[in-house]
Amino acid sequence: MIRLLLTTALSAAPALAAAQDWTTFNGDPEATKYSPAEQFTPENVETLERVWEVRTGDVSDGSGDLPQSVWSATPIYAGGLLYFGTPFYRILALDPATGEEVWSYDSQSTLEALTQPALKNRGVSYWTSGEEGVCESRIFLGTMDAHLHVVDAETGELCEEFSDGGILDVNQWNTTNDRWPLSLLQPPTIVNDHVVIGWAGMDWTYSEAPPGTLFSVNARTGELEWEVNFIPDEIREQTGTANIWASMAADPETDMVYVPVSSPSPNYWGGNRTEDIPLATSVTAIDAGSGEIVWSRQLVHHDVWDYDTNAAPALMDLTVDGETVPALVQTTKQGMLYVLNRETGEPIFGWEEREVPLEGAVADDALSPTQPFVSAPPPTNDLENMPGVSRLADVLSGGQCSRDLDTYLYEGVFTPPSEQGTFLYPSTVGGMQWGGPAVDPRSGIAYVNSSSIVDVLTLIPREEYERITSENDNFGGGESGYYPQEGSPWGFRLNRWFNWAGMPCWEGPYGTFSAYDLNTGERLYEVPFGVTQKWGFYMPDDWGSPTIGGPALTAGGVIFIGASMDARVRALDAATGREIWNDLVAAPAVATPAVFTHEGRDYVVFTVGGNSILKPQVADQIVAYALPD
Amino acid sequence: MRSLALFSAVCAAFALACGLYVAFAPDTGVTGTPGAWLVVAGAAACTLVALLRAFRWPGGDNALLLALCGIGMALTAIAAWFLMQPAIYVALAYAFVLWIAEIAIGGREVRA
Repeated sequence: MIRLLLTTALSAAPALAAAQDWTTFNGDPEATKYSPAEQFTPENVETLERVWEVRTGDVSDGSGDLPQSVWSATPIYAGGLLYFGTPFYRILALDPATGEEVWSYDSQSTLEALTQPALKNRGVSYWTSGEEGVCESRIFLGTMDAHLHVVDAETGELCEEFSDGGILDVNQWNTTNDRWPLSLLQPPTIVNDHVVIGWAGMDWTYSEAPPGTLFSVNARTGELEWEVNFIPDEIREQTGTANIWASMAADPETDMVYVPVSSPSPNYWGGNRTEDIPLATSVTAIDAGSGEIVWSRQLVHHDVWDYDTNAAPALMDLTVDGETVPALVQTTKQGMLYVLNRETGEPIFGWEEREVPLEGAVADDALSPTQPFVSAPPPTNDLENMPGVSRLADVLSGGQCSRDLDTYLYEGVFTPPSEQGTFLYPSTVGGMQWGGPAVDPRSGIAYVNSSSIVDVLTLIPREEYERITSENDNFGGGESGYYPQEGSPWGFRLNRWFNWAGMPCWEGPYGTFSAYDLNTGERLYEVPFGVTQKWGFYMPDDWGSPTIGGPALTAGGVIFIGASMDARVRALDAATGREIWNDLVAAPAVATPAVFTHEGRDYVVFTVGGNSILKPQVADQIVAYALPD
Repeated sequence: MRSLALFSAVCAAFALACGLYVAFAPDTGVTGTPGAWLVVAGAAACTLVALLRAFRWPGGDNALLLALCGIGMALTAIAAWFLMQPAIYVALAYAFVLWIAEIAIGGREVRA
């Protein structure tokens, strides 16, 4: 029945009249990751061929002078060219048919890991006026040191009329707690002539950090149009972040932008910010013309779990009880999918403020006694119970995993961080990650990959933290898991729940792929996705894999996705989630692929960069696939 | 010379060569991983043992020693299976079967 529903939705619905480009990080302004390309079907996708492959040279494994690179740049296909940002902050324009370089631009940006443990880039943005001429179409590249470079899309030459000779210093607006630059790792979101700029920072280090801001500049001149502050004025100096580091969605017809707002700082203690911060950990709708907040819906109150809203909401129209509803779906780290009316922010399905546990919370914080839960769709992760203990890991650890259950707290998704130690499930890396969902705008069906990871978080009193980290030279995080939250009474330690041999103490599957009918809130299927790999050994298929990066959906009913730990890119049958095709690439492909039609031929292009959260394997590979000629 | 042991050595040597390839070549999915090195070491040991059995076996007909060598081949094949390297695990499976045949048949031939 479900297959019939999906097959009907995928094949019989009228194709939308849309250009078969891939013009944003999420495919289109609405962040659907849907391509009208029809050549790929579940029946023929097994015959995919690698038509070209490029190595950019912009890669570092961290063993030399440069920090490690993390490359998650979904390519942009627009105006007949394919555009990439690289982790060395260059722009590449390639011929989509051959992979040959048409031009490149080097921002000459510093290659220091100023705010992140690695050099990161998630790509570029594209704007066009629709006219012919120099800089009438532009590519925007952000850098770790907070500069936005704007070049002509045809030549790669700087657009001189934009800001200061084609380069905008966004850090000029970093005026409160400016401990680090406003890193531009996620490409800006462009709605009409507004370039909407969020930023990333250095989480887990400071309590007082740059407070969350969103800027809009004019696409031609770079002049500041508006700025939105996400932390109330009276407490801006005593906290920070609540920023937008992930991608956003936009509706060009209504000139609206929909933004996922992250949690305030510090991430795991909120005693310095007990006042209400209603815009933090929210999805917020903003008028891109004026910067006015039209509505906002908070998804976590007084967030002390680092449950940043971390992906662009996807916009689509749904049919609910026979009526067409303008909607969005917001996927989250905490495993819930929030389906909202995008004009009002009102939930389309049931919304409940439910009491959550407070026992174990540290005395100098003031947690919210309730948190919002939705009645539908069902979450990707069980929000009341952790996965069971892995027998294999438990036996091999002499019962360590079982003993941990008695040591650490867990009473569901919002169990307070504690000095005793708290299991975080879903963990700080999800649930669902910044890849977000792919949505079929014809049917209202959403597809999403999710991880099942258990972390252990322990708050450590400042004095003890200083002693531990000075004795062990563990200060500042990294593999040790110690992070300072400087300026708060608590440092913390955050680790995966592994046994001594590095095996997960919890049962799989560690990653799944799901489809949801957003018209009804039903889950249509959930299947293990990807393959976990440890020391080179591949684990059984039904264990799945943690994932980073999202799926892309085609009109022909095929899902393309990298995302998994085992460095394979895959094609799935959208109707069932069944894997149809895969290919080995140089590292985990932690970028959403791009699907487009160029000169009559459909292509899917994967950026293969790796991410140390999955495994320490990096690359600089771009791979394009198409059906045989 | 014991021909079954020699054939077993050839299969194990082929597995060793494939193991070295996947351990060193880029983008094999297991390049430079501990699992790949484990299989290389296992295949090398299997090759050496089979060659010794073929030409100059110091262990006599010590059943325990022969059985342990066979178990080593089987475990190395299983490790290669978890690396998703069919060329290696198929070659090691052949090496294992030939080794068992050598113990069962070759031993009797020698005694006869």
